[in-house]
Amino acid sequence: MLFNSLQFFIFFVIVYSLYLILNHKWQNRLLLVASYIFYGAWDWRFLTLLWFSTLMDFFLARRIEGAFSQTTKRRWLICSVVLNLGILGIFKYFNFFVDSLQCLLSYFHIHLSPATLHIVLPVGISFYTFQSLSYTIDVYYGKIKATRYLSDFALYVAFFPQLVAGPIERATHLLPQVSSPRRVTLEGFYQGCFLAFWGFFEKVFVADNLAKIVDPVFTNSSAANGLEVLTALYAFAFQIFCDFDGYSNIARGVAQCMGFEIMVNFRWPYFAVSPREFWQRWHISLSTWLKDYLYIPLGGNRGGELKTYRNLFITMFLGGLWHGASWTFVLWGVYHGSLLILHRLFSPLVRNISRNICFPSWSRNLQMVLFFHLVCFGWLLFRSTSIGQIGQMVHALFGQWSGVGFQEGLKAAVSLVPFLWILLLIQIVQYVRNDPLVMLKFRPLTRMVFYYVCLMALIVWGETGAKEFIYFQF
Amino acid sequence: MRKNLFISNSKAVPLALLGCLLLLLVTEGVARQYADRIRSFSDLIILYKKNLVEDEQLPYFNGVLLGDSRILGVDARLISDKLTQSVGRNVSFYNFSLPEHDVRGYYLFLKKYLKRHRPPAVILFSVSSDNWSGENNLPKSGVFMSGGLHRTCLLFSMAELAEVYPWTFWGMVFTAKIEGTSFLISHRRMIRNALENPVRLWAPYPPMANVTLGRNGGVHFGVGHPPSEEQIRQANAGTGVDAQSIFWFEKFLWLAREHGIRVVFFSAPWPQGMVLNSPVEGADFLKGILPGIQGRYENMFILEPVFVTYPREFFRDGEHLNGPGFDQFSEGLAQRLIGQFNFWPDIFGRVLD
Repeated sequence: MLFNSLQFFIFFVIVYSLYLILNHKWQNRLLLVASYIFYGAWDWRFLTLLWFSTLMDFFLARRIEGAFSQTTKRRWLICSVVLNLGILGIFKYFNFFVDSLQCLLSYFHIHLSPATLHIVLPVGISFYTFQSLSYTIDVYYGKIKATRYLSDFALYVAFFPQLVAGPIERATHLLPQVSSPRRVTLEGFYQGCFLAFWGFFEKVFVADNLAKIVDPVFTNSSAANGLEVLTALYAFAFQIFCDFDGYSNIARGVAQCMGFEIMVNFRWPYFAVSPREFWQRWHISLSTWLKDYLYIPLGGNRGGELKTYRNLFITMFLGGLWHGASWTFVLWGVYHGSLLILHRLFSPLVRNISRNICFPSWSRNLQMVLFFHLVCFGWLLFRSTSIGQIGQMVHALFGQWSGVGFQEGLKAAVSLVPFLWILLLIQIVQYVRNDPLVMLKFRPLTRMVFYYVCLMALIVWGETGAKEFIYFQF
Repeated sequence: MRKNLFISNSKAVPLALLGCLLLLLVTEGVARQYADRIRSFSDLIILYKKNLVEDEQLPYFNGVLLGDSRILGVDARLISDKLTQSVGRNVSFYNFSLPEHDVRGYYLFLKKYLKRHRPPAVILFSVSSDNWSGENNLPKSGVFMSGGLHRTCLLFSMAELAEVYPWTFWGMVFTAKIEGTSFLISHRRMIRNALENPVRLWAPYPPMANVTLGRNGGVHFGVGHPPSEEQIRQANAGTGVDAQSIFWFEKFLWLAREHGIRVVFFSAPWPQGMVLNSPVEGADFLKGILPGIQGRYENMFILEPVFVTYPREFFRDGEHLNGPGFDQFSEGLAQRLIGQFNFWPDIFGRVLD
């Protein structure tokens, strides 16, 4: 059941109508059943996997909390980590590792035909596994008490607005909201509706229309020239942002209507001037998860420069792998890891220079533009389907510009503008005012025009047919 | 009992939203002013024929052509003339073919026709093999749907549609019907085209009557460009025949039989070079299934051959004939009708010298 489908709209209207008339206890029961229906609509068989993860982490967290010695606690935690990552490994990475091993051995003329699993990747498995795992880790570190109510924990894991593509919530943040009564206000309802509307606009108008520019280039990459690749990269940068931010906004909006507060997942990432800042703005729930549960346990920046670089590299390598079982994602992670390391290496130098030389006020904008292009190059690695395709695209991007003139460039730019101008305008205003809900503070007349323009764009240019969100594959 | 303070805790009225809805209503009104220039050619034809069939003053036609877009240009006047010559008395045919409909749509159309008018003596019926699947006519799921179902909704009421679609599709039908109430939504694709090329909003356009009545409901088409390999490949991507379509075709035959109407099934040509593709498989399937149906309905006749190919220069895309193609096909169709069936004098009567 996709957020951008009529099916979901009807589902939510029914669930929300019931939600409003029930008390807290029954609200939670309703949400739990609704979440399982929502998830089961994709493939009901994978509900068993979701239930298994839920039951496993619920009981393991109780064991961790109840254990008398630190060693026993640690054992139960390892058990939770191994089981969670084991499930993820089997369902998401088993075939990838088998294929990679087979490929590696074939270089040494050893030919194996190991068995591969013929299974579909359960939707949202990476998201709910990380969410569930963070709970047991938090219980281990004493950040939260293990809940005594299985239904509360089950709702925390399966809460439908953020079940399949995040944001990856922490138990410290979401579980108390599940356990205590929530207040549904009209103001919250308006804000929620606005967020959901804006997310829907980002997905259906911006992302799905840009996909029509991106897909042909990546489908037929061997025939693309430099300009086409560059245009596709710009388009993909905004497509993936709007696709994922759109989903997160709808998730936040739907949750807010019901009195929940879900964490912000994106804070204008393309305004970042450094890789560090980018990861503080992009997919915040994943980057903070990786920081808290991987980078810091690895030692963070406490063991000297070399160890910091190693930790950054491992974190981003695994962050890339989290996105999908493919070497292109690994390469993307390595690329961002390298950017973070290079930034850490050279930032003192840059700071010194900037202290001695008075940079003009627009230098931040320049850095923003430069860094945006580095991010775009990363998207080339991310969107490509194979290493071979990366090679083709890079070759086209840097080497195939013959016959490309000003007119072609202008035409390419014009093809992007209709789908980006509203988004860019709103992003700039949001960024300058540092407020994602700034549009709600406009004067009624301005808001009226804004709603009208967005609705007309959606009606006339919005893509028909519910298209899947990119992050569902992760 | 209630813990939520949903309505009572705020006095805010969503003024901007109400204003926006007002603006949308104004836009809807303006778009309706330009309706005939915004609507697609297919929609204009459907609405034109809808008005025609709902008009109690419609003259009597001895024969009616019913079918999909692939017979849209068949010259019913030419068929009338040929049969008039053959039978020796005035015979009139009208082409009521409707683009983007499937078998269910033609059953409903016949029902609508028979409610208001004297039954014709014969129906020339043609639905290409890829329209024997109701799935073809259904839109993708999603808000602001488009596609064949909207076209069917233009013609029929919710109750009529509910008769032919299984209950599992009623939600989709209902949504399409609701969306159809808004011109902005149901014609969104055409509005997009008009906004991207606003010149057409001010360009003169021929009234539908001039376009269609010239050939008794058959549309005049130009020569156009012969289809590319890709167009032919796309046209080949048929979806096959579904049981629902066969069921409603039998209902169609039953309804015709109840009113003493003969139904002649014929096929529109495909471009030459289409071998081992789905329409052929579909045609083969039809060839296999039609005799069985014919055995149950003595009022059904099959015009041979069921699968016909024409040179590619007679096509304007991968599946539709162009103007000269339709001229040739209409001529051939009239000859085959006269040559293969001897019931014309019986149903139209012969003026004896």
